[in-house]
Amino acid sequence: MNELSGHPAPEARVSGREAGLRTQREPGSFRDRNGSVFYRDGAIFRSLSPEALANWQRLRETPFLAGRMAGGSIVETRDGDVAVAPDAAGVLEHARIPFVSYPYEWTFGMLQDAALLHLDLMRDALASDMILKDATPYNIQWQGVHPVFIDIPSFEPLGRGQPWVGYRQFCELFLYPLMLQAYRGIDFRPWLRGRIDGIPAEDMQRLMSTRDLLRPGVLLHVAAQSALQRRYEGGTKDVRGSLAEAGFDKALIVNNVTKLRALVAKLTPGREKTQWSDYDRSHSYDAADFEQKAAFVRRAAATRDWRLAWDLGCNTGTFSRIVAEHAEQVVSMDADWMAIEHLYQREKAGAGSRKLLPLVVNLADASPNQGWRGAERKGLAERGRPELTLCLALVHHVVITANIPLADFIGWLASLGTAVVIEFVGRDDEMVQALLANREDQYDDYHPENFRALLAERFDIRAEEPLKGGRRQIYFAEPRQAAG
Amino acid sequence: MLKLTSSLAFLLVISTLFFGMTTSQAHAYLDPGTGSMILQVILGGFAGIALAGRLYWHRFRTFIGMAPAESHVGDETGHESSKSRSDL
Repeated sequence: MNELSGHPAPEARVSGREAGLRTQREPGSFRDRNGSVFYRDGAIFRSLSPEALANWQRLRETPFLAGRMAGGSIVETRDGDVAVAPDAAGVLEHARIPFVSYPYEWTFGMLQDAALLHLDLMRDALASDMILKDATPYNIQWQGVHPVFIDIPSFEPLGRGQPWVGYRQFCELFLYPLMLQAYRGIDFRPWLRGRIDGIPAEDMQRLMSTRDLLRPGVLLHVAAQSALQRRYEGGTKDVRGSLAEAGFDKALIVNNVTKLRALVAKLTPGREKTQWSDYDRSHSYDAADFEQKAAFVRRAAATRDWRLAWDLGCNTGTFSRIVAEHAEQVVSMDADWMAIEHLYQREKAGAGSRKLLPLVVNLADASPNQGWRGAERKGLAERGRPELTLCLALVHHVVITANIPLADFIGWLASLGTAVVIEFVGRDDEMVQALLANREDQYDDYHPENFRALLAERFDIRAEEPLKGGRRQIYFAEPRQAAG
Repeated sequence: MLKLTSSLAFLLVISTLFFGMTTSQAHAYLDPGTGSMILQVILGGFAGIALAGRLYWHRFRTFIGMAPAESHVGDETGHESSKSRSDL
C-alpha cells in the first residue's frame, strides 16, 4: 500500500550520501517491507529489497508492462539513482500523481473501474507467470478520471501451487463495498473510511438478507467465504501446502479472476435520484444570470495559471471545467455522490480529462488523518493545498445546513493560502429561504455586510459583482501575505 | 436454482477435505485466510472440480493403503517450507 503524493508530510529521514538533501519517508508506505516510498528534492522514489529488485527485473521483461505504462494504467516508472538510498538493493523513480485520493472519496463507478483495472492487471500478470501479491484500492490512484496502478513491488512471480493470496483482500476492499451499494443501496464510503482493511466477510454476510443469497456472487464470495473462514479460524493446518500438493495451479486463479471481472462489471449503484444529481437542469439561475456567473469565474480563472484548484460543492462540475482551462489539476468535490458519479461518468465518456479529479467529500466531515499513527491516510489539505478555490452556491450550506460559523469558514479558507472565487447567497434567495423554512434562525452572522467584512479581513478582494438581481454577490479574492 | 444447488453441494464436499493436516508457514505479508484459500478451489471452475477429485482420490488411496500416509511437498520457488502432511 503506497501513495505517490507530491506533497509529503515531514517524516523520518533515511540515509543518503549527499549531505544536506532531505529525504522524507512516505508514512503510509510501510506494510510491505520489500519496497517503500520516499521523497527527495520533489521526486518520488521507492527503495527495493533484493527480492523486490529481482521481481522488478522480471516485471520489466513482461510483454504488458511497457504498454500499460504508455497507456497510463501503471504509473510511469524507471530505474532510479541508487545513491539516493544506498542501503537499498535497488531504487525506482515514479512519475508524480497530481492529487492523492482514497476509495472512501470515490464514487461507485470509480471503485468499480479500479476493481476492473486490478483484475485486468491480475490477468496480465498471470499470463506472464506473475501475480499481484495484494489487492487493495489504495494501490490505485487517478490521473483525472483514469485509474493508475502505483504499487510496482506488488508484482511478484507466481510460485508453484500458490493460491491468490490477495483474494480475501479483494473481497473486503473492492467487492463487498460495491455489493453493499449495488444490492443493499448502502453508501460504501463510511464503511471503507471506518475500517482501513475494508469489510470482513462475516460482517458482510450479516448485512445481506436471505434474498440476497440469490444475487450474483453472494453465496460463494460472501456466505461460503464467511462460513469457511469461521470454520478454519485460528487453525494451524497447512492448507496452502495441501493445495499445492494436490495440484492447485494458475488455471483456478484465472477462472476466479475472469468470473469476478464479469461479476464486478455488471454491478450498478442503483438509480435513486439525489438532491443535486440533476443540478445542470435544476439550478436556480436563468440562462442570462448563469452566463454572467460563468463569465466572472472564467475571468478570475484566467488571471494566471494555477497548479492546483479545488471546486468545493462542485455539483456536476460545470465550473470545474471552466477552471480546468487554466489549471494543471482541478479536484472537484461534492458531498452528493450521485452528482460526482455523473461528473465522473460524463468526463469518462467525453474527452477523458486528465485534469479533473471528482471526489465525494462532505466539507463539514472531510476525510481525516487516520490509520497507523494517524499518518497512513492523510486529511484533505495535507495532500496538496490549492492555489485557487471555488466556493459557488456553497456558503449557505456551510453556515445554515452544517451550522459552521461564517468566520470559521473564511478563516479555514485563508489558512489554505488559496485565492477564492466565492459566492454569497443572500437571505432573500429562494435557496436560503428553503433552508431556513424549518429551522430556528440562529445565523446572526449570515449577512452580506458581515460576509464582505470577514472576507476583506483575510483576503484582498480583486473583483466583485451582484448576481440574480442582487440576491447574490460573487467575489474574486486573493490571500493576504500575512494570512494563514 | 440448479446452479445454486450445485454450488452448495460442491461447497459441502469441499469443506470436508481439509481435516488432519499438519502445520507450516505461508509466505506473504498478507494473511490470505485459510477459509478464503479453500474457497478458491470452488471458484476455480472445472479446474477446481478436478483438483477436488484428486484430493478425494488421494484420501481414498490412503484409506485403502495404496498410498503412503505421509508425503513431502516442496516448492520450487522456495515460497513454501517443506513439511509433511497426511490424510487430505
